[in-house]
Amino acid sequence: MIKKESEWLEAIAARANVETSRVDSVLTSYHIVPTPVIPVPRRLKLTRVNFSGIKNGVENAGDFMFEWKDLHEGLWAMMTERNLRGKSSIIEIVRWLLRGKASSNLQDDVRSWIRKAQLRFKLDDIDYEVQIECMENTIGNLFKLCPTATPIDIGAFSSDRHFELVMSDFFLRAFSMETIATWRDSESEDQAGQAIIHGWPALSGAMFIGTNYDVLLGDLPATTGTPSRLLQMYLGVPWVSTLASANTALKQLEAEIDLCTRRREVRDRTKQFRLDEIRNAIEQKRKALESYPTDDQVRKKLVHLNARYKDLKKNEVAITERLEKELLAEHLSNSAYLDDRRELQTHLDSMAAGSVFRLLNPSLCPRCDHVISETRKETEKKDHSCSICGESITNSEDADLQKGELESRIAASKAALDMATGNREEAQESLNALQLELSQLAFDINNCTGQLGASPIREQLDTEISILEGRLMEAEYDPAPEPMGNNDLNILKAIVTETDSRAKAIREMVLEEVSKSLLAYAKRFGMHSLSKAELRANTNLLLTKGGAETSFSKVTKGERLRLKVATVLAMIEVAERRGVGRHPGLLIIDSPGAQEIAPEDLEALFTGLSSIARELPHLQIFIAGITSKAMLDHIPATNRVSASGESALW
Amino acid sequence: MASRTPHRDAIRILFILNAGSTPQIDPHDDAVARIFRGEARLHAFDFWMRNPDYLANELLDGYETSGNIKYLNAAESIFLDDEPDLRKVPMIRYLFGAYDRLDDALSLLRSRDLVRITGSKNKTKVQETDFILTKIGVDFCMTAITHAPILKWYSERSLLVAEIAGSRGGKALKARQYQQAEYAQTALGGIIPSISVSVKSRLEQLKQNA
Repeated sequence: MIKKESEWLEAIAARANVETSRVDSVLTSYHIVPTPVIPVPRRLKLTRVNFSGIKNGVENAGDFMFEWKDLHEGLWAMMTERNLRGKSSIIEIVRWLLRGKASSNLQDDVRSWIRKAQLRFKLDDIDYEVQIECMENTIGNLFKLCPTATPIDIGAFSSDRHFELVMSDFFLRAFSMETIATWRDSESEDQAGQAIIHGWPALSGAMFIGTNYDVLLGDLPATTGTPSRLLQMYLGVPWVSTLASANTALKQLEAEIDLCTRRREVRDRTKQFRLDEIRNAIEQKRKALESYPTDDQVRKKLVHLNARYKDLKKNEVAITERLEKELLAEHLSNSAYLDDRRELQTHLDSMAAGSVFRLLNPSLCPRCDHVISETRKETEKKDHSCSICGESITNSEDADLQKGELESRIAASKAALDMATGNREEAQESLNALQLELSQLAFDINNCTGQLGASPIREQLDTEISILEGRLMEAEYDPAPEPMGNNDLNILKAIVTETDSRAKAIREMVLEEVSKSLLAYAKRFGMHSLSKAELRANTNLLLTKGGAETSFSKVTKGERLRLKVATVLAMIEVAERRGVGRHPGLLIIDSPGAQEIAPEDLEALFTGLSSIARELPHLQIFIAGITSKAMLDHIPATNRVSASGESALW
Repeated sequence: MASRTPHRDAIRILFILNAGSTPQIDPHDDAVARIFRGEARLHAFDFWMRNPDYLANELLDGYETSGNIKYLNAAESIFLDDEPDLRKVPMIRYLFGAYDRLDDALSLLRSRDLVRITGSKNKTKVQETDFILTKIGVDFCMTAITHAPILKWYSERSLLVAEIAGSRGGKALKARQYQQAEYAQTALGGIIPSISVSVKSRLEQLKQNA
């Protein structure tokens, strides 16, 4: 055993690539115990059941007492002709005393009636007796009985809990059983699942067949993973409990790591959000700070702006003066231009008027109105002297010359005017641009002046930024990542893989044997159409019935009952043959006829059981049921307690 | 080259007399064709001939009173042709009670027997100076335009002045002109100041409302 264990340890260390001491420490910290070998099966037999108390609130109220003694191997029956006559209660009381814990099937009123109860049983060749007294608490003792001496008190208890501990401890040790750990996933995201430890109450389930035929073995639903563990444990497959605890520890660690990762992600997201928030705030404050320059900066800027303003003002005066000059020049040249044009107009009009008047010769003197004499007119024609005043008449020959001169003057004054207008416009534009810049400067200066004295705001902003930067550092702080147990994870995986490989080979072999045996028993229970049964490690039972493939969960209740019994018997038979295994050889079947089971199925079951009981001489089977011909036929009268008519067993 | 030529003045006066006169028949004299009544009236006509900006102002008044769009258009074309600058012939004394002497111009007209100066007199004093336009004078108005089309402006302008003056006598017209000029003087300073700017803006205003 030591050799197997150390070899296993080294194999794991090699797989995980660590020292064996490291593997050892993981095994210790996760409470994983190596179970390389299974001890030989031990046999449990009930030898006496008795209990007493006072019935309340029923027809036959009052003291009662039940005793069933001298029990031994073989088939035993508790029979009544009516239901609710105490059969199941006997089974439940036996169960209570064996497990140290009542099952929920024990009626509350029945339990409250019990004052004292005793169960004597034989484990291999040694007799034991558990005695309880029900006061406020359940008190009592577990004794080892010696034929020659006084009983040895091997466990006293004074509470329900204590009672359970004592019985668990006794039987787990007696059968060299380990508790079975299973993993239950959490239903909520932010919680890890948890490991559930199934102790003796669960393990003892393999000895009882109740009225629920949903699972093949025990009384816990398949989803808990318990039935498959039970199967392997009772089959005597080595390493089973080691594998179970290693698996559970692995799942627990994985769940923790997963939860840790999820929490970390949430935390990281929150942290990132917070960081962004603070960084944004700092950014905004910095921008605000930039918009409030220091007084020194503002003053420098003001000096610059004011200097520029002064320069421009000087320019403005100069340009204004220039503009005035240009305006005057424009005005003057415009006047000259108009004068010239007016003069030309006058000249043209005058010339025209003159020429028109020359069409008419004076006919009388405008002074005295005397008619001008022909003589004077002749004289005028002859020597060009005016017929009125005698002055010389000359046509103004230079009129055209004058006209040309006037026109060139107009051209000159127009050119001067255009130039003056251009200059004036240029000056005006310069002035406009200058004044625009001046007003912008005035605006800037005004703004700058308003920015003076902002230092308290700057100080405030500086403080706020410092605070925010502090917060940022705080938020950025990353605590060293928690140890995630990744190393443990690898080692646990190695343990699971290594252990599983060891368990698997034997398990497959044993399962095959059990399947064969199971098929044989089922046939003997009347299931003749069954041609094949294959029991899987997960307690799935695959069947071939009438040539068609089916499984345990799909067949009738009568078939399921017989398959359950056949399974337990097959386990016992194979264990017996192989010399390993843990089933104690005790089977208690409650009310097989209660669940719509056909009478012929029951008949077949009892027929089979009675012959099997002879083949497996250490087998002890108790059956509780309504009195039936099958039971009467196959269970000897000495092995029966019964109540007829309305009466009860106790 | 300030050319105040009597011929130009004579032509202007001749057209004023022609435009502002009414037909006249003298049973003793076949040469008589029309009569222009009143020397003051002649001077008043001449004022508007020589100050186009003031005429434009009066045209706008006429437009406002009568609603006749013709006056508005006439005022507008005065400015389009730069007349207030080009056609202005200053007559400073007019507003101070004295007329520019038109003797030279009238002599020119008289010597050709285009115009005869007459008047109604009482025993000692000339009551009113009237101007007779002879048939030659009337014909000469036509001949002048044909011979020198540039003079057409005088003919057309004198008709416009006559139209805007209407039946008002010399005294009334002069009072009106004084009023306009005095108002302008107060506002602008100077003697018979140019009112072009204000009339122009008034014109724009009226055009927009038209």
